[in-house]
This record gives sequence, C-alpha cells and structure tokens, in this order.
Amino acid sequence: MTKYLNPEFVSRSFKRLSSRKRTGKTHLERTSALMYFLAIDATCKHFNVNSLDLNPNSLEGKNNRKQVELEFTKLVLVEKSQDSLKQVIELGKIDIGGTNPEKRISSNFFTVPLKKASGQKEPYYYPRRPSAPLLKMGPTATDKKWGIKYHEDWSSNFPVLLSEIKDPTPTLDLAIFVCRDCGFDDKAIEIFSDISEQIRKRFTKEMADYWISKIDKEKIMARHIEEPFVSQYASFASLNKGDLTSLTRYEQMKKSELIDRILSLEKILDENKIEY
Amino acid sequence: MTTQPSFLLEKPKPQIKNRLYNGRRIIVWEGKVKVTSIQGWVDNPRIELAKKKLISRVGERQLTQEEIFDLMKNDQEVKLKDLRDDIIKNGLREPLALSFSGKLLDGNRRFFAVKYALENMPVTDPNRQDLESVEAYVLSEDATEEDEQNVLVEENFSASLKIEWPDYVKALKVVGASEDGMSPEDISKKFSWAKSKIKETLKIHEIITEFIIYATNGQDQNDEYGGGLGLSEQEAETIAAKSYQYFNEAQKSYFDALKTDFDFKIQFFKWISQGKFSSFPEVRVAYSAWKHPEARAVLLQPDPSAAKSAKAILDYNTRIVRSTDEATGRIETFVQFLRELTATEIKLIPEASRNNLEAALEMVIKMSKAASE
Repeated sequence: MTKYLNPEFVSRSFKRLSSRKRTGKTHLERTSALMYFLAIDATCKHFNVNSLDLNPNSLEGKNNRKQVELEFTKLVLVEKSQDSLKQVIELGKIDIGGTNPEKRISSNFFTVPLKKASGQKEPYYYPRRPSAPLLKMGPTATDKKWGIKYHEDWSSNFPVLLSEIKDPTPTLDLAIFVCRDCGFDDKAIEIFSDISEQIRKRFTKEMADYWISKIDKEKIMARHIEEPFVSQYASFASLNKGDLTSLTRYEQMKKSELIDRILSLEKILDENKIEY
Repeated sequence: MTTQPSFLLEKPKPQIKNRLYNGRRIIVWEGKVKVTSIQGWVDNPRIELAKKKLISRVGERQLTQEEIFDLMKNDQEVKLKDLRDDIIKNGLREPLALSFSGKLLDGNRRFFAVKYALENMPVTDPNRQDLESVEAYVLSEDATEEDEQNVLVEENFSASLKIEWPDYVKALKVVGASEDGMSPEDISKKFSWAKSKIKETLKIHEIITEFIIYATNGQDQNDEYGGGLGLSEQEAETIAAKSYQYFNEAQKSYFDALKTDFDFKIQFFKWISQGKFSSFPEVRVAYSAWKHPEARAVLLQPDPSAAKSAKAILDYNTRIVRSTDEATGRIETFVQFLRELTATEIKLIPEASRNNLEAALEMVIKMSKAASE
C-alpha cells in the first residue's frame, strides 16, 4: 500500500517557506526564479540532458517547452477543480485563480528573458535580481540561439534565493512542498531518506546530490517533523485558508492577470446566482 | 467624575492629575499607598530567565510573591541591594505607577527594594513609617489596556537612569508584537523605537531562535556537526541573553552569510557557546576569518585568544595590500620559511596543502614573468 505525505505536515513546512518581509515583491520574484530553475532541471532529468534548446520553431524546442511547462505546473499547481485553481506564486502563500501555470511560464519566462537572450550577443544570466544567477541563456552562453544551461555558480547562488525565508530549514521545507503529491513506499518511515529518494527520481543527479546534502545539514534544525506520513492522499491546499493571498496582492498584479481574476470571480458569482 | 481607587490612603488627600506617558495624556490619581496592599508584578519580563529556571525546578505553576521577591533579591543584574541602600538613605525618589485594580505597572524594582529595606529595618526605626506607605500614581478607572501599555513602555523602554530591561527581554516583547500580527510601523509606535531598530531586533531574534534550536539539540556522533550542544532551553536562552549584543553585531555584519552558509552558521553558534569572542571587532570579522584559510585555522583553535589572533591576521592582510614594503617583507619571511623546510618536514605536509603551494608558486612564476616582460 502506498503512503503519502501528511497534508498537515506539508502545510506546516509550506508556511515555513514564507518571507520574513510582509510587503514587497522580492520573495515573489525569487519564487518564480526558483520554480523556473527547478522546472528546467526536472526537464533535463526527463530527457537525460544537461542543457535545453527551447527554440519555439523546432520540434525538439517545442517538446522541451511543453515538458518545462508540465514540470512547472507540477511544481506550482496545488489544487485544480472545474471552477477553481489554486497555485503558488510566492512560497508560503496560496493564490486562488490567476493565469494558469502553463501560460504563466510561457508569458513570464519564455517570452521575456529567454526571448531577450536569444537576440543578444552577450551571455544572458538569470535571475538578474538578486544578482545570483542559476541559469545562462542565449547563443554566446549556450551555442544555441534558444539554448539554456546551468550557470557555473548555480550551487553557490541557490541559497541566496532562499535567504529571505525566516525559518532555518528552507531546503528541507522546499523538498517537502515539491514532493507533496508523491506516493511513498509502504515501508517509508524515515522522512529524510524517503524525501531524498523522491528528489533523486525527479531531478538531475547534480541537483539531487546538492539538494540532499543541504537537507542533511538542515536536519539538526528540523523540529517540525511530526507524523509525516498518512495512508490516504489529501491536498494540503485546503488547510492553508489563512494563507490565501490578501487584497494587497492585487496591487502587484499585471493588468491581464487582474482581468483574468475578475472574470473568474464574476463567473463564480454568476454560477451561484449572486448579484454584484 | 472618576472614582478614587480604594487602596489609596485618605491622607494626604489624593489628587487627580494629567500625566504624559509615551506621548499620550493619561488621567491618574496621585496619593499614598500602603506597601502591604501592593502586589509585585509576577509576570515582570525583567526576571524572565530567572523565573524559567525556578519553574523548571518547582514545576509549572504561578509563582508566589515571596518567590518573586527571592528571585529579585538573588538576581545580580537586578541590583536590588544597591537600590535598597539608596532608598534607606534617600527615600523613594519617584512614585510607583499602578493600574486602577492595583496592578503594579512601573516601579517593580523600587517596590521590592522598599520591601527589602523594611525586612531588615527594626520596628522602632523612625524612618520605617516613611517606607511603609509610598507615593504612587494610579491610573483612573477609565484607563484602557493601551494606556497601561503606554505606562509600561515609557518606563521600561525609554533610556533613563533606571536599569532598563535586558536587551533580550525587550526583544521578546517586540517579537511578541510581531507574532501577534503587528506591522513594524505599529510596533515602532508602540515601543517608541525607530522602525529600523524594530527590523533589526526581529533579525537578531531570528538568529537567536536558530541558536536555541541548535544548542538544545542532543549531541549525535552520526550527525555531520556532531549534533547540537545538548543544553536545556534555559541554558541556551541564558547564553543567548548574555550574548545578545554579539548576535546584534553578527546581524549587522553578516546576516546574509548566516542565512546562506550553513556550515558557518553552526560554527558561529559553537563559537558563541564557547565564549570565543571577547570584543565586538572580533565578532565583526568572524565571517571574513571563516573565508580566509589562515585566519580560519587560527580561529578554530581552542586557544582563548584565537579570535584576537585571527583578527590580527586579517588586519595584517588588509594592511599588506596597501603597503609594498610590507609585501616585500612578508615574501622574504615566507621564502626563508620555505628554504628552511627539510625534505622530511615537506613530506609531513598534507598532500592537499602541497598541491595548493605548487599551484600558487606556478601562478606566481607566470605572473612574475609577465610583469618582467
């Protein structure tokens, strides 16, 4: 019989990924960069390669893009039903509605930094803010117009993207969040080795080795591990009502995202025959 | 017309006054109160750590007035004896502040010092009656909880001649407010501290929380770091409270490094618990020393002056970059050191260090040739 992560445990770990700052966009930007990077890495693992060609006009490029979109969706989509979508835009918080994840990565990552990199002579490093790049793109850096590779310093830059997180076990909590929907072997009892196994299945060897070594270090600070497994799967998103994004988030949304959000809310009101 | 508090003595006749606390005007009664009718503040944060120690001994329960009195007398940092002696010589210089229900809001230390003075004063002492009833301000019955809070803040957060609450205790109040959902702006108003100081306090507490988690972990030989320090919560908190300003220095100098370099963080916690640092400059350079192989090796030694020596190495290296003469002198010393090495001594040097030396010498040869061309 398969075991699953206890939704309460996932919820606890997820909340620990919140930023120490209550305002500003830094954590949101860092979450995006981190999720794009993990999606790229998972795609590299899927195709057993160490770089990707994301050319929108070639079959290989299109396939790669599809896979990156799929991996990104697996990372950020926390619940989807016929009329509602719950996703993570900023670690530690759940957003209801908004642009669907495939479209998000396409319009925010493929058509902005990747496109810009394809047309520039100098290597394009991502992310630019903070100045701690994980990826490099563009013809000079990758020998392919739409190429994308790991930045040489990705492993020393990775913790910088987690440095706004207040709690002391960010890589462990991130791993728990990422593995939230995984099925574990019936014999699973020791969370650290079981999570490590899932990380190895999903990410490249370099990434998994690095991530697991960080989790091993953080063990000493992990005090929140209680009853990590349950026998029946349940989404953790429904437990996180208190963390749904506040109205201030709308001020930071793009106009197109805001329109999507209003339309989806209007649809719910219409369906429930609520006047507004 | 506000009601007169029942515990105020009729003589001299209590007066209604308007006093300013933390920028807010509050109506108070001014008069005299019998010391025996005042209850000391059991929840006083000043003696938080001492209380925790006692509770760990006697079990979780409300401490009695007498137990609190004993704690106050025995806690060196409270300096109750000094205040008692001053009160015996000069009387109570400043009135106490009480809530309408008689809860002591300010003057807990003065109140216990008066009790202490009375404890040893003969009944026949003519000064005794001056201390048996003391002057006090009592908040009116209309005072809100916020008013009480303002009195507390004014009397304990503002710098004055009194002994303020220890930094760690004040930080706990700020953290408590933040955890209750207050924004840094609101906490800043509440405690009359600059917003930047509130943010710094929250960051210091973030490091301290991690220190306590680490220090209270049991030792474990299978763990990469040998586990934690195996301390009790109280022991860890006591170290944290005593080292509060060192944590502050770390927060100012390398907060990001503590959040991104886990090995350094654990080592820094070990240093704090070992009492490695004896000055702020030594704490300030700890991360630079950690990144510098020579200074790091020195800092890791158990020698009590290790931090001082590591700082001296860093200072020397900073200077040498600026001074060609010093660079020349240092090279000559090093060359002489190399020449005096015997084959047997070289054989004893670890292979990694020998490879490192070879690589450095090769690089110097190349750079030197290029510079001569």
